Amino acid sequence: MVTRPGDDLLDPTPSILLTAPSEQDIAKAEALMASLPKVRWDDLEAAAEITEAIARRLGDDRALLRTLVGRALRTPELREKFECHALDDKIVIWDDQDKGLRIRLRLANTDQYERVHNHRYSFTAYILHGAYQHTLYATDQPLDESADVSRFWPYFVREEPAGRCITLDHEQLHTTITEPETISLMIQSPARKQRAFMIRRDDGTVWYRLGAAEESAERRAEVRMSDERMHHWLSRLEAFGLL
Amino acid sequence: MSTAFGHLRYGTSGWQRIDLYGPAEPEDGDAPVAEIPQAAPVVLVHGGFWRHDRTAQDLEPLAFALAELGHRVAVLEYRPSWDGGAWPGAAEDCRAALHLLGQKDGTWDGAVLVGHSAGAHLLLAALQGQARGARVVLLAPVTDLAEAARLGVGEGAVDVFLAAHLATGGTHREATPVLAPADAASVTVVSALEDQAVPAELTRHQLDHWPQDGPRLTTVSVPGARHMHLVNPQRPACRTVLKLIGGGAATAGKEDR
Repeated sequence: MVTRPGDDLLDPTPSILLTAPSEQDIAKAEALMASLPKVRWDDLEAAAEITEAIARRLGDDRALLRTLVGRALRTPELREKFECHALDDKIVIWDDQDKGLRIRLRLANTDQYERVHNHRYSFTAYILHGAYQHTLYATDQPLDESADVSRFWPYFVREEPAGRCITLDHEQLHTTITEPETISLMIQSPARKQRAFMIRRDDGTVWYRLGAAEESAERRAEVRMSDERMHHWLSRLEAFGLL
Repeated sequence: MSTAFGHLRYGTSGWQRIDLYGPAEPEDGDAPVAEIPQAAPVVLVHGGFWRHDRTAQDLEPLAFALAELGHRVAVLEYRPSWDGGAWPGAAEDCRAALHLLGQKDGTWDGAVLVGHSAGAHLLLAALQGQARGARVVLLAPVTDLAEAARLGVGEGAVDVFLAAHLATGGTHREATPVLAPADAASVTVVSALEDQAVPAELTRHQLDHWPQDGPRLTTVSVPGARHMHLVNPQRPACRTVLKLIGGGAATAGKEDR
């Protein structure tokens, strides 16, 4: 939807919507994805090695990535998993829980604030565009509403530029401050716990992120990515040369 | 004894590398070089149904155990089916890796060549027609691709590995290596009797159809062992494998054919 003069120039209709991937390309992509190994997420070192290779295989093959995104747009159970959140949005392009392979694009919004958090799942992130300011934290307290924000100590700070792959255990506390429109290809494990812990650095507010299955219908509707937002991201992905 | 590490690259893909392990040179106060056992070098090829359910990293504990016994060890990594390794890519990788090791000033001459699971297939394919005359040890091998495909071994992994080959009129038989006597001095096949990944039916078929005019074959079966136990030094089954690689007699179920 065009809301201001010139917006149509900023977000032209993404060509992926005008020219869908061919059935043959989709069949080839599905055959490749079916040939991927099962990831042993209980052995993080092994998982890191294999998921980095998979992430680079998919992320560096732009035609394949385009086919997978095009396929996801036409696959209702994947399209339903496209979500918008405060700091980032996500487009799920493959979901094979038996193999430990949920693969999505993480799309960072402009607004960023620091929240120390862990995850419901372990993951590998391959940064395709932009960069993270990445900080790992330690603490000596239970991760619940009583957590004291001053007792989260940064012990590792690093810039993660485009082209880098990182793998993180679901228990690891960290923050990622991203440049606007940082795009990552994420491969995540099946859920390892019911909820992830989050605490805002500037005021100590604690909250949790639940899995989709535990969220209310109202919450699901709230986070579902609109078609307009999806068009925006597809357009940006094409502009960055990622699709 | 401590262990030294190194890597060699034999191609441009990140997978095309060889992980090296070996007894470290003694430091002052350690045993002199002459007291370090002079054991044959060993080359290991990992399995994982050609798609890297397992990687070279998974053989690191075995490599350490062998290094502790005085062996130099090379673990071959190769491209998986989904990243350039579909037949014959991964077999060509293994052949290139063996060729590179062969150029290293004789360090790897006389190496015992060991393939685990689908790695046994790649090892045999790499050796076929090369007249290397090496001692070969195959652990829970998957080598007959027609039968492995028929039995659905690796949840259809064989047909994924061969997809392009089959699509252009190739056959499973063409991708099943057959060694000539000159290709290997001997072949020892070690079977895990509780193998959950390679069915006993496949093992029996492969042994029953072993070429009569091929290299001398010895079979060893290890009771109570599962698929990965053969390469896990923390498991008793691996003691049999370590002895066989070292040239000793197997403790269980040995039969010359």
